Amino acid sequence: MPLESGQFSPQSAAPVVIVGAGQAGAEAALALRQGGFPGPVHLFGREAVSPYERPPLSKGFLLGTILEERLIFRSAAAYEAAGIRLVLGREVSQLDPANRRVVLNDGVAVDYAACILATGAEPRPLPVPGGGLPGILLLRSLEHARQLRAAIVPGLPVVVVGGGYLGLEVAASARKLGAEVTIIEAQPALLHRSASAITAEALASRHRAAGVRLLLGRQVARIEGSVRADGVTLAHGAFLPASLVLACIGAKPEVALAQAAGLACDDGIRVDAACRTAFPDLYAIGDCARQDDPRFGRPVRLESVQSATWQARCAAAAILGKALPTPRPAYFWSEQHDAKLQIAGLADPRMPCDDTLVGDPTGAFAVYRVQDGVLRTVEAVNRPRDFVRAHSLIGQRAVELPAA
Amino acid sequence: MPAIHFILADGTRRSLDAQEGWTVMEVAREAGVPGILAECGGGALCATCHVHLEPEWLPIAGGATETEDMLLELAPGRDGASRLSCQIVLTPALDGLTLRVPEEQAS
Repeated sequence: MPLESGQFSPQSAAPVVIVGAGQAGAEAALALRQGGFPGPVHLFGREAVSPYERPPLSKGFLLGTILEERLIFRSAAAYEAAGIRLVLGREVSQLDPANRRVVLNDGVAVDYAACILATGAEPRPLPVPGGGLPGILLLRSLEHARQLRAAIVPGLPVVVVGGGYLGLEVAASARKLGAEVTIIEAQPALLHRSASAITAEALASRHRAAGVRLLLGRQVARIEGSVRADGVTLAHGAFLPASLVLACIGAKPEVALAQAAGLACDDGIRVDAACRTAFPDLYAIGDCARQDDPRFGRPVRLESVQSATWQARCAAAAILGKALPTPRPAYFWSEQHDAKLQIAGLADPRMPCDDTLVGDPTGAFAVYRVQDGVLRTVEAVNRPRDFVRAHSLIGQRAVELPAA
Repeated sequence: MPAIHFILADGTRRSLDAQEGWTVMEVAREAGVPGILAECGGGALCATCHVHLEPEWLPIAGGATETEDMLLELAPGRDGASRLSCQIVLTPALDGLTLRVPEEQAS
């Protein structure tokens, strides 16, 4: 029986179907239950493993300080106890929004009362000759991380392509494990458009001090190797031997299912403030969703745990017909070498920032970033006080900065 | 195996057998205790796994560390018995640990 958007009748046997069992999908399932949703909830995951935490994959998991069992959010028994049907190792291959139905890859059809797409994002492969050779690793899933951990060998050369957060974190971990690490970044600086120049340079110094080689403003021409990747040739001709090449050049949202169903997708599935798509009772959350963002007056797609869990709670609230949860400032974090970076807020990458440094870039420091006179974001390295304080200051004008 | 007792926002109690060496946050998350969001996964980076220790447990589990104390400023309703549950590692001494999950975090 079709239901009005935002309402659920307990008499209906149709479930909420969640496509994708990453952090967003798992959180949505739990949020529905915790919000009192009485009907069935089906959570479909492509991977064979229960929903797990991804951020440690590039850090503690690679280093061996966080074991696999600690990444799993909750036991199968906990899903069962919450009345969530967790279906792993199966893929939803078709979406029919007009008939409120999904079809699994084995042909089984499931009619839904509401459907949440939480399909995530896929790492981009290297768009160069040899970019598909074995020995080129990606990092997104636990399986990727297992392969990566097995391939990092002390003393052997690791080439990381891409100087964004993920590449930098893996580089720091691989270096700590004793590998000879080189980062190749096409832009002249690390963290292009995703951090201030001050923070990017401070992190670059830490990588260099730890023995990581940084090749900035360099393009990869091709990956060498007959059977498997054994080196990287740069655009100006230099050759770097590599026992392992890691491609960390970003991810693209997984939108094939949505697109085939006729949804508007443009760097993500377009959703409104409640994570609703253009079709009734169909939502999208997490890395695959591009949401209207009042901060910038345009839709934004964020790959962040905080955004994913917040959107999961928004979609659950919308399905339950409840008020949306209160938005809190965005935040992000990263750990590289001795630097614990915490970022509060989000600057518009299309607009220039006035950056003010407080503290010592070689030790603990914070960068206050102002756009159009408004404090947009604070980047704090080993200065949690500034990060905490930022939460109440983001969005304000004429913010008084700490003296040192 | 230490037992932990959570008093939920709605007043109900939830008792769990915990594994030594795990944090209270991990135990809560594993079992799906509502109100322990733990967005950052336990790195003392956010404040979404805030709990209040029952007063008798404060001297045994100890108070918040300096970093934890700063982050707790982000937690609504924090008080002298507030801790981030990701920073409490379970030991045999904490068998019977009782804590309250704040209401604000549950919504």
